[in-house]
Amino acid sequence: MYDYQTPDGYGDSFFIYNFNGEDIPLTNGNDYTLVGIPIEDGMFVCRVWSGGASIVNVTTGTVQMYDGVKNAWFLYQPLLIGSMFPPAMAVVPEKVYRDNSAFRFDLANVELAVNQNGLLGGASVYADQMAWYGVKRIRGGVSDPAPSNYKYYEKPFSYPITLELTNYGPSDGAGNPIPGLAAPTEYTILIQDFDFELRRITVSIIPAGGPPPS
Amino acid sequence: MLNPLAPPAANGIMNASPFNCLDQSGFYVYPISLTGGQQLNNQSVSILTEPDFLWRGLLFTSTGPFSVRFQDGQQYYLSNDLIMSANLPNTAGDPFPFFPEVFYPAGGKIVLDILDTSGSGNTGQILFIGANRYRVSGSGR
Repeated sequence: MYDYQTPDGYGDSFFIYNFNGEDIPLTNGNDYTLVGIPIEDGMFVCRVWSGGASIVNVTTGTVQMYDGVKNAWFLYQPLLIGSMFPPAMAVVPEKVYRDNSAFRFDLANVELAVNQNGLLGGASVYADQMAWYGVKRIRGGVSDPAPSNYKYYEKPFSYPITLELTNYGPSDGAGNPIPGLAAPTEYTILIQDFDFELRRITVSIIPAGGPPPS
Repeated sequence: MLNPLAPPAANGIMNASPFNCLDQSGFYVYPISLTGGQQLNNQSVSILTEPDFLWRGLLFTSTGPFSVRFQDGQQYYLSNDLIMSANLPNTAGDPFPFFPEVFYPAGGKIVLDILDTSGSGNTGQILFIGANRYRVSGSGR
């Protein structure tokens, strides 16, 4: 396998586009054609796709994606969701969406995933999202990471952070999920002593009551 | 740009399309619908009339076990007998590979024989994962 080459004159930087069904808004049980979210501020090179199973019924729902010129990714029947849709599906070859175009997709039998918030007798909150991972490609831009202007060597390093999430998604008075976001909490991690190149984020969930004894 | 901790797809994989061709991700679907013990022969999935299809991976889900065998684009069988579904391990994130690839010409068809071995009704889906190869003018890239 040979190294990927960004086209001359362009720079690539990591980016994620995401879509929440309640923001359209989508209604459970309905079908939709050519739902879209805009591509802005540069081309987008899509390489990984996830979350379709949280938007439609896992047994009878379907999602059909279109590329930048509205060619379908799949033939005839859209890909059956449920066990057929991987947690994160590689898109190979990658699909390039032009600036000011859009992700377009058909949805059949929408069923937006919900979760219970962590409160006693917790209300439901929306837990649906589709996401497309890749790079924004900008003419004249610099690819991440930019070339270093000094000699260096790399050593593995991690910045761990422990946090407790208590800002739940919104619900109405009857405990039903409603669109919108909870007030965000911003966490800051100080980068000290050396430049740090972020390559991976991992999340471990500790259950209530703490981790099991070692 | 290369992140050694990222999977190859996330880092980007150069389009290895041949000269004057453009490969695009493509999938063909065969719905499984069998009664108990039923065998269906010469089932076909038609290939689009414009692009050739390069079959590279297999993914399926079903309510019960089955046996299956496939033909290539020239309608030669890829196995001497039906293969049990248990011998084609696959998951959504790790399809069963067909290496290097099986070529189906535009306008052709994927032909398969399938046999239910569960003894009762069997439904599901077989997904042929690969790439549609379009002929284009110029470099195709």
